[in-house]
Amino acid sequence: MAVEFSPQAEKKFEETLERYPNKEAVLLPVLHLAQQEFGVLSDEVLEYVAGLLALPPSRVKSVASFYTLFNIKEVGRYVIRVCYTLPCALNGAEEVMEHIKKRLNIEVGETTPDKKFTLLGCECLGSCNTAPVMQINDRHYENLSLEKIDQILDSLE
Amino acid sequence: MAKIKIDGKELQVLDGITILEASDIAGIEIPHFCYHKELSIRGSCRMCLVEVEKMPKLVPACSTTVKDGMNIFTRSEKVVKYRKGVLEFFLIDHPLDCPICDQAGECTLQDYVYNYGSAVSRFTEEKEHFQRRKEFGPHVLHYTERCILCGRCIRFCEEISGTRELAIFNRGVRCEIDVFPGKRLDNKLSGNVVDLCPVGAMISKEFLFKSRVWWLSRTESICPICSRGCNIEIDSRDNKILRVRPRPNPEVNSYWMCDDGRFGWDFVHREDRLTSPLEREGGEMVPISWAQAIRLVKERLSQIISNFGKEAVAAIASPYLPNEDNYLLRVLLHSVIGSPHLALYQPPQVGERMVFPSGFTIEADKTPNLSGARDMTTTEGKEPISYREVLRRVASGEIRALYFLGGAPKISLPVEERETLKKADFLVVHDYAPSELTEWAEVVLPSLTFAEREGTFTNFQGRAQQLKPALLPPGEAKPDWEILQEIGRAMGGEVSYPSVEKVFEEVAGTISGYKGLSYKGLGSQGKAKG
Amino acid sequence: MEEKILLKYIDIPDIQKMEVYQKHDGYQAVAKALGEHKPGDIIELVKTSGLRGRGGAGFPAGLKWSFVPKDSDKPVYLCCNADEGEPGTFKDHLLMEKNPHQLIEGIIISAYAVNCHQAYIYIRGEFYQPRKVLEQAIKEAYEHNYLGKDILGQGFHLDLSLHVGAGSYIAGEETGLLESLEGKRAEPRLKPPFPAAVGLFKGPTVINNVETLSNVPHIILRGPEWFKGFGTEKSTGTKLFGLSGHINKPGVYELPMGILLKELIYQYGGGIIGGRKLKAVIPGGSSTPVLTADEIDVAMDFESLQAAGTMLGSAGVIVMDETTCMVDALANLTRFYAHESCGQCTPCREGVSWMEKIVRRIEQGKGRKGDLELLLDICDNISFKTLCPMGDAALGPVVSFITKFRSEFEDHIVQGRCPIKKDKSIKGRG
Repeated sequence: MAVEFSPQAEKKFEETLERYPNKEAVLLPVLHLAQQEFGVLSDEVLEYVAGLLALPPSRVKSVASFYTLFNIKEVGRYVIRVCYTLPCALNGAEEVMEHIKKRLNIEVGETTPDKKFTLLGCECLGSCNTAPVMQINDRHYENLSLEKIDQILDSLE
Repeated sequence: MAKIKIDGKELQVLDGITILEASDIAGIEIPHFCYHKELSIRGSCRMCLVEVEKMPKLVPACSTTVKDGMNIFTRSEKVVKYRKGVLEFFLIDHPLDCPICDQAGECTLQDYVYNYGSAVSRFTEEKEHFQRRKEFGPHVLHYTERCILCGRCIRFCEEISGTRELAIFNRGVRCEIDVFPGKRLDNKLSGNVVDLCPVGAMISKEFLFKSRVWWLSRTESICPICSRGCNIEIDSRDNKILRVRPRPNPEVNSYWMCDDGRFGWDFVHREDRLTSPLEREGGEMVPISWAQAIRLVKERLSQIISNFGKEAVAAIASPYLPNEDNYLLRVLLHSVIGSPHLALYQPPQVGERMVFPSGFTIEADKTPNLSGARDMTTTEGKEPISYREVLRRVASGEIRALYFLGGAPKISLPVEERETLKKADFLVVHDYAPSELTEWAEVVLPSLTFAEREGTFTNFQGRAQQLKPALLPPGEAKPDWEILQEIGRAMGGEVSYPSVEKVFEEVAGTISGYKGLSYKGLGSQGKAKG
Repeated sequence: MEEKILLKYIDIPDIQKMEVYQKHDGYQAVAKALGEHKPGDIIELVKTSGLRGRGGAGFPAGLKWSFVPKDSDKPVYLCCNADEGEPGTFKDHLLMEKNPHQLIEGIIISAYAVNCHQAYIYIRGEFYQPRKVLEQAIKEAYEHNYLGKDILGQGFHLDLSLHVGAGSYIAGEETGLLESLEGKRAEPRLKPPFPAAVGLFKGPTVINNVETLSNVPHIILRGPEWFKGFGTEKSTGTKLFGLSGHINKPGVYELPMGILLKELIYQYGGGIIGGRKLKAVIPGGSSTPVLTADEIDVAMDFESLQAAGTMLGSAGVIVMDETTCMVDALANLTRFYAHESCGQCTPCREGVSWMEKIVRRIEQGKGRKGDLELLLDICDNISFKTLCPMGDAALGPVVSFITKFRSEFEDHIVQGRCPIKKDKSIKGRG
């Protein structure tokens, strides 16, 4: 297996184990950890996680494929999630989406050829008072305007 | 106890059982998919919702426990309307595959839609599409779009086989069942998911496109592959087995059988089945008539008895044959010929006992009737001669004639044993196809496999269970007990059993343990020895 | 100026920090609860206060706690439901990010009340910033002996862990949350048994919303009678109302229960953007039936909204003006529910997705006669038939939009197009 946790990740894994009464319950935290470490929860990574927790790989993939934030397919360095549920839709989510599509020249669900950006739609991010809202990796961007969007995209290496 | 009413019918049932279980007792059908007696309750298919007086919502029958005074309606207006609605939901993403789907005719979805659903669906949008067919393992195919996500197959792999290969992936309407990429559904119980699947999503490779199920003849029998004796149903058409499935027997095999038995009947249809008696002439085996064969055996045996005495004749019973056949061998040897040398062939133990988490076990003993054969070859208080001892005496010349019953799907003898068999002056063998036994026999008498005969196997628990014939005997082949009867008569014995049932009657009268049993009384689930 | 309970100190700089929080009644409620009360007393106090669940169901909190058996041989768990996912709702986001210690205090006292020594906060995966803030606050609480062993020397132990979700609305349903905490797909469980009897890791479990728990310290410190002084007889206390959509001043507003919806929209929310006309209001998060512009003279409390044929829910008020196409809005919401359906049970999995497809088809101008009756009939076959309440949540918008805006749907079908002049631009409030 080429896939393995770094010493820091291994340490976090050990710490996490202590907070739950059994290994099965640690699956979500470990999947988060693995996604941070390896970028994508590929089949190889999922099998590695299965081994760590003594779970069948089918179960690990079953859980990983249930949750939206787990990327089991290849994604770019920056995953842009534009909220398009009703409150954001009422405040211009469609315009946000179209603007980003045009700028990056990709459709929703696609990744730019240089593998920098992946554009996705997502459901309510729980920040409806600052609509329209988008998330890029682990940061929220609120009260978006077209200029703000351009600034944000320009600022990302 | 709780007094309840279902559709007006009054019942007294145990406290704490579910409405579904109560309906079973009352003989009222409540349609359901995800519930199965041997699996944990899921309550997710929502097919089994029924109305209960004073409860505002319809409740799932599979998981709602009865209470004293409960008044249940399984056919109220609400329930009837809802059943149409939920069946319409089930059909939304279900492909119109009936004309090409193996499950047609034994499909729970088909049956329910016919009995409880609407003839017309109002769904006119685009269906969800998935990979049409997946190969899950050596025996199981999955037609993804037919799956109704009842989850039985997944719970089977979790709770019964404990192998956990299957899981649901994705969410919502994109849910699908799959194995982890690169892994296979290859546990020894894999074929059971095909039985469990209420629709044609889980399909057996072996049975794929072989036949419509309403053209199958169904015969109740017992699996011959190990000593568990799983109760089976042989499905055949045009005198050919097309598939074998388990019959439920809570004492023996629950609802399951292993893949070795389920897919291990090929040997019945070997091209080289023996269809007539054979005599060795020069180096060749030449077909002869039954009359000739019986006469030949009688003459050769009589010759040896007269030259060397009765004790120069020995017989080997078979753990692969039913009790009645082994019993007739005993009658021939002890009563007609008068020799005590009746031994039992026991193959070396090659298999391993496999115990699954649910308790279902595949036995290490790969013969169906060792227990019964032992019973048939033992006389009260006396230790029977061993197979090894018989062979030793054949090698030394003490035993001159050997009557060997075969019948194994595949027999494999070590070189020394085969050499010893060669040494016998007269070797007569029963078998269903050429084998290492028939190689050296002077006379070969063609007999039957489990699929063509009546009789009883006694399983590892000491349970006597009935076989029934699904196929006609090939050519002139006969059941072993009939052959032995004719030889016995030819040799002057008073051997007269008009049927297998009569043989069993005598067994019950002679062999302790079988006392009190009757052939008919064994029924379809068998009975334990005393 | 109404007195605030939960947002009283929200604007104090660095109130997330322990040293600042302690200067503002910080952890005095914990000291009082552990020092002066027995667990049973706490339950009685909360019962008397009339505090009802603020997550959406409105179940009396004290009563829920009283269902926990006192003598279980399995550990008791407390789960704080911070999986805020109901569209239109963002109050828990604010509470956690701006005043995390208030929540932690509430958790400590509530855990004490039910004899729980291991509590989890299930926070949705998308709340990155609130998570960081909470992590830091929990660390501080341990450092100051408000968590861990022998809290404040009173002999009560409590461990608090943050469990991060990964993007699933249905993980906010209490038993879906338990499944997710146990490392599985967030597929809700059959009830009975109820979590108070068999919950997390099979132990008795209490699940409460962030806002509910945040009220607890105040009830202990100032007393249930003081709390009852806010709101109405059956809906006591204040509520964090969320305002979003076509509103001039979107945000979280803490007001007493019973305030009029009209007041909330026009007095506090500043009315509709651009002075446009109000068309429709969803009063309590997307699952609650919609109200027309003529129906906003209703009091925002559990009873009044129920009498008006809708629900208070999470009090996430979504305001829609005349440029909103109700069919488009419904297509948006049905897409949400179809996407979030866990897929376990047939009516929700198949039925909700079917409804999404029909509504989208109508929105695109390809609607057919009979579509509306079909949608309502599908709703009837889902209603109260599903394994969990999400099926019914999905119906809320479908039934109410079609009932109250039927002509708009019929226009789409008859005209074969959307007759509304939509405005889908970014509103960019000044």
